[in-house]
Amino acid sequence: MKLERLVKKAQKGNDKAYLMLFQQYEADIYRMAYVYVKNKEDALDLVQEVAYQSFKKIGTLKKPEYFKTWLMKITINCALNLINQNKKVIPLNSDFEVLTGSEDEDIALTLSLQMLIDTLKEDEKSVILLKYYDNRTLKEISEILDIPLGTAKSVLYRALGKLRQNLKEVGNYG
Amino acid sequence: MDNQLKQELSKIEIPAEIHERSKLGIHKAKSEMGGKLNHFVKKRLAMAVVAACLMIPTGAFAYQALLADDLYGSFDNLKKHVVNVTMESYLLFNAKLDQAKGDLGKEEFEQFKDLLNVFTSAKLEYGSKNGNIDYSQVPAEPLEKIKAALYEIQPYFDKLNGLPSSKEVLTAEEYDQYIQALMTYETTMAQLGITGAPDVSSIPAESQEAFIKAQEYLNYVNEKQIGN
Repeated sequence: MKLERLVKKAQKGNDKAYLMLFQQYEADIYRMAYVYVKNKEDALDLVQEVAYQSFKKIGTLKKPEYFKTWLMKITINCALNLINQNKKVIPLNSDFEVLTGSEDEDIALTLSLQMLIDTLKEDEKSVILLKYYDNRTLKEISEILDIPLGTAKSVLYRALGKLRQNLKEVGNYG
Repeated sequence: MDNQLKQELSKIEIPAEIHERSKLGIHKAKSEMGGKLNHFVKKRLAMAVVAACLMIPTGAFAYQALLADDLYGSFDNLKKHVVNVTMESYLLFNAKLDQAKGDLGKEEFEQFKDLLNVFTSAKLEYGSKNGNIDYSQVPAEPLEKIKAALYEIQPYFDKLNGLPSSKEVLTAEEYDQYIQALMTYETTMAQLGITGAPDVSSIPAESQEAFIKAQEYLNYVNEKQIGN
């Protein structure tokens, strides 16, 4: 079924239509969430939270063609909220988590993903994800994130610079 | 960079339970929305019941202090026929009529009043002490007449309730079913002798299914009206 039809149905409260619609994007949402929260459990919580919030607010979506972008915006906001909440909690077993987390992963394979996740700050992740994962222009990014165009640009260049810097360091070891 | 990032992100494995989590989130939202909707339906049904209860006129039209007196003669007169009517609900109905007069415009209001009058003999003859009709006890010929009047008057009720006309929102077939559902609902209330939304468990088993179906259909129509 067409996206617009599903959005219209969902806006009338049809949960089955919305589930069909949402499931097309849940993998994208999960991956974006993962970049921010760095673990499976929190990322899954975020998928559920985004499903909940987006269906509640679907009535406010005016243009169905912006559905994906609108979901991405909700995902980013939810992720940032969760990170802020978690900051108030002091992790007691952080060393232990790092140890188990990296054990069964192929280091060479996940290096640049890890780099993206670990070296960038939240606002940089948002800009990078929207630019390269969702193919948004800088102007659109500034609108989605509610920041001036100039800020979006400088955040993007700063993020790219960090990634390049890291790539070089990795190259030196290789 | 474009493809590279997508490639990198695609390395993040998608857990199997992701569908389940999406469903959970949507269900939670739906259940909260459902609460709102049910409240709305209940409120609307209550209004319909008040209107239905009071739709019993008398032949004698006295001096009209209230608009409602135009239809019932007077409160005392109405009280003779509908034992359970209170002054409060009578005044509430009057206010509803006042609103109707303002909302509908003169000509429409006259039509509306005429339709109310069509009901009257039937209500008087077949109505319970609460003013509800058990349609299963009404002979075929008057039943057809009442049904025809219901057909005409329902769009006025919709208008007074601030909703789009159910006659326009629904197809002819659906509208027919809607009127049928309204009648089933009223029949159940008449049989149970109550004025509010019935408790399903208090309905005899053989008519329970028909009632639930009618209630579901009313909900469906309401959703459709709200959605448009």
